[in-house]
Amino acid sequence: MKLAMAQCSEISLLLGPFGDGELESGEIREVAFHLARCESCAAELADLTSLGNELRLNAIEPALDGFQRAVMKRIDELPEPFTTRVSDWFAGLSRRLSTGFAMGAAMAAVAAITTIVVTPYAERFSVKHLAQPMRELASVTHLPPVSGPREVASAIPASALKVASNSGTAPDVREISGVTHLTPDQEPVAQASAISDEAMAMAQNSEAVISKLESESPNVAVWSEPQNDTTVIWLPDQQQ
Amino acid sequence: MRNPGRQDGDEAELIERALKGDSGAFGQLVERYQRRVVGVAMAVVHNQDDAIELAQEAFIRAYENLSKFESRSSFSTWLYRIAANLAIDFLRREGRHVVLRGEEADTEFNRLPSDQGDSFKETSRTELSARLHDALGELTAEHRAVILLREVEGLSYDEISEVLQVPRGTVMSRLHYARGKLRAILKDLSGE
Repeated sequence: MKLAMAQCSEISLLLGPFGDGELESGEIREVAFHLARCESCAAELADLTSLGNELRLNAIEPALDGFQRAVMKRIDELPEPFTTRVSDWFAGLSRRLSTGFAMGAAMAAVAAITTIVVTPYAERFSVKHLAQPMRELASVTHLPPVSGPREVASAIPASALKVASNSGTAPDVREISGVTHLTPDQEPVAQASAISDEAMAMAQNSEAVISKLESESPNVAVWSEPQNDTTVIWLPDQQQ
Repeated sequence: MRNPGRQDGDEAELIERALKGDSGAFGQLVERYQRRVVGVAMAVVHNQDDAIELAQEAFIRAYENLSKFESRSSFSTWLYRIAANLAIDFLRREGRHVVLRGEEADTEFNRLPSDQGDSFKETSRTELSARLHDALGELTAEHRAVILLREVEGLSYDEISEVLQVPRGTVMSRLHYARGKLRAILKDLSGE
């Protein structure tokens, strides 16, 4: 009898876990064996089972209408965490720096392209059409362009003209273009502002200068070709 | 009931999306677990309004600390633990006696009534419901939490251990005591 009671007190501790399915297989066998022989423990197990059933049946079902909405509303109202604010600030800074760097890189690229590709063409254009002809005229020949067509070629031997037209035998002939826009019968263009006053004065006296040059150097011929904006200075070959 | 540490793919995806700022994904997690989170809180505080408020707070805390969630445990268990901790803290603030670690519970086997009998005979359902509610109110918070988490919420001993952060042995002893105590209270009530 004492042995049976001791066993019941030990088994009693295991009845709950037995009903909950939380025992090891050896303990399950032991409890099951005891229950088969002990009506008291079997009744206690049934009572525990009833208690659990009643607790579940009588559990209060919480009113959850609007629960999720309330939670999400509170989440939406949460202040942004400090770490998020800091990381957002750095992200924004990074974006701004990236944008600035990209713009700088683009500007540098444009500058490089301008320098490498456009500038030579611009220089060639300006040399051909603007200041260079006048600078060349002023520095090399010190002659102003003529103001109109002038027939001086008649004084020059035909053979000389023929030679002048042939660059291969190279008498010293210079063709200076871009002069006619400075002639008095035409409107001054914007680029003329780049030309020095001295050159302008020389251009106005070009006819006098040509006459003087022709008189002092009979072998030099100067004439203007307005159809191709050219003033031609013909110098005979020194070896001749 | 899922085992701790196991997570279905759908839940993992929802958590991943929520971590990336998809509040809709977190909303689905709220919908999925709201009833049981409220149940856990109710198991501790034994008051529906307080439990709902605490459960909402639990979801907020979970959202704020989602990046700290480690998938070694299940998301639900992690969520229930947050709710249980909040509920226990709530009771502490209210000045109610709460044994957090359960060291005292092991001695409670000796305080159980010895002759309990069948507590549910000859009792109408309405009376029984009222008695159960009163009886649960007489339990301490830690005993009530354990028995309700087991019987109503269906948590395993290991899950209860993890949620309440007490050893499994403490869960077993508290459960044994709470069952015996409830049976004794119900018997006394039926004898009055």
